[in-house]
Amino acid sequence: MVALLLLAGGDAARAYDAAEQTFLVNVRQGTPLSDRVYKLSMGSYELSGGGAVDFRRWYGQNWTEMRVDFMTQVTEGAGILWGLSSGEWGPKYRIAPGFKLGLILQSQLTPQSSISISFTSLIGGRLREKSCEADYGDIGGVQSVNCRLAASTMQPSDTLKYLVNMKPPDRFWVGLRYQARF
Amino acid sequence: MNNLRITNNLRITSIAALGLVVQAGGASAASLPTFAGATPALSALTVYSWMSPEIGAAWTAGYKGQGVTITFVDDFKSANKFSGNLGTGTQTLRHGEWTRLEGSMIAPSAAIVSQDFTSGRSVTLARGLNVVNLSYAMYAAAGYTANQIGWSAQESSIIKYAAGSAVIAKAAGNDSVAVGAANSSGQVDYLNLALVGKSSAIFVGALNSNGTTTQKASLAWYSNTAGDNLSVQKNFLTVGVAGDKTGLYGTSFAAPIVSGYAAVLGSKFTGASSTQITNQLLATARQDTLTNYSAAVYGRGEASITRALAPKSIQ
Repeated sequence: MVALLLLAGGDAARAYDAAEQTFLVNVRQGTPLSDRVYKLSMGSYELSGGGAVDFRRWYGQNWTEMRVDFMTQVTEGAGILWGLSSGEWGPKYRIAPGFKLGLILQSQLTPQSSISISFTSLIGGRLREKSCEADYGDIGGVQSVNCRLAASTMQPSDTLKYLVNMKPPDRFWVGLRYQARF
Repeated sequence: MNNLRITNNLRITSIAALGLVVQAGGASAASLPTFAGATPALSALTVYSWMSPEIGAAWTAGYKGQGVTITFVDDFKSANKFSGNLGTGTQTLRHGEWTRLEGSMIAPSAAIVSQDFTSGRSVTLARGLNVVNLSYAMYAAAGYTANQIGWSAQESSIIKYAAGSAVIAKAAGNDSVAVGAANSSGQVDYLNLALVGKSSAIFVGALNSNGTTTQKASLAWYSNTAGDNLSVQKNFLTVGVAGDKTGLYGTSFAAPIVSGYAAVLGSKFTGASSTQITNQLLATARQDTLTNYSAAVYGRGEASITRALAPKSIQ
């Protein structure tokens, strides 16, 4: 995989080198969108007959989105940052899997200090909330609604405007780092 | 009280606003509670202490009665004024000015129309859902039927609209008797009688507080009850009238809350008919917030705007 990404058309020996120069730089479980879903799950309301609706049944998380980031060094001062996010899903939402790609450049200023600049972009990883089917009985019939707002004062069809549909807020990343050893 | 209606067969001896100015144990005009920290501007949508907390939840997003017209038929002309405080500061207003203010605070986006109850003019309905608030009674001696009353154009129109053209929120009365029964003076509210069995009429009784499952409410001592008539029970609701907080007592101040609820509901379900709005409010009333619930006392129970707005089921 690494070889294909970095050295397409290269020979097996070069691919092996790329793998040798690939390092795990970050593993994280929990992302801004996953946190957002967690917040969506913290709510409830009563149905017209008094039954309780707990949002956790729609937004409860059995699996929290995970990201793994790697750096493949290309030259002494440059590397490719790349990574994968697992995505996450529940009955009423889905965070799509994503692929991160970027670059890091590093310069040795002195024997004891260095500066690096990096940027990454996350492709995919969008959070999409799904709608519910609500039965309002004689007064409103069956309608597609935002699950969370079905009992609000809003017209049922208007609640659909508030379905969460968002890209990862950290999909673009630019970093500047200065390091000194003393 | 005014002597008003000359009829063919029967004279309505008085038309009476159903607000009790000051009750024993309640707040007097001089000692009305203050609402520290409350914002006077209605647009701020403060949930005042006299309101059910449910209405705040109902306001959380978007719609608060727009597209609905509430017509208050009440006293807007007399010299009778009394003091109260709905959280916007102590004011001295006419009865109709109080009920109108209260209803507009529950449904701040509803269009409000005022008609003095002595006008005798037919009530005009606007486009869209209409709610008519009746916080008054029309008394005459007991022993007649509503059909024997020679109603004015005003009441004739209201009674006609109660068959499904408008939601009619009618204060149940403050005589501590069943709706339709004679009070201790031998008088009956014939407007109540005329609305019995009408599909979009709601009789509104007063509770002494907004009930919860842990702090249940009781019927206010003055409030009329639903009684044994199943047609009345079926269309009888109760709401909290927190006179201890506002200085305003009486079922007069219960009906505007239901009028406001109907408007809020109507702004959500824009295609719903008056009868459907009425039925939704009635069908979603709670009994578990009331002390010793019985249909003869509380009718369908305590109105719940949050349940009325909610779906029956969701998947």
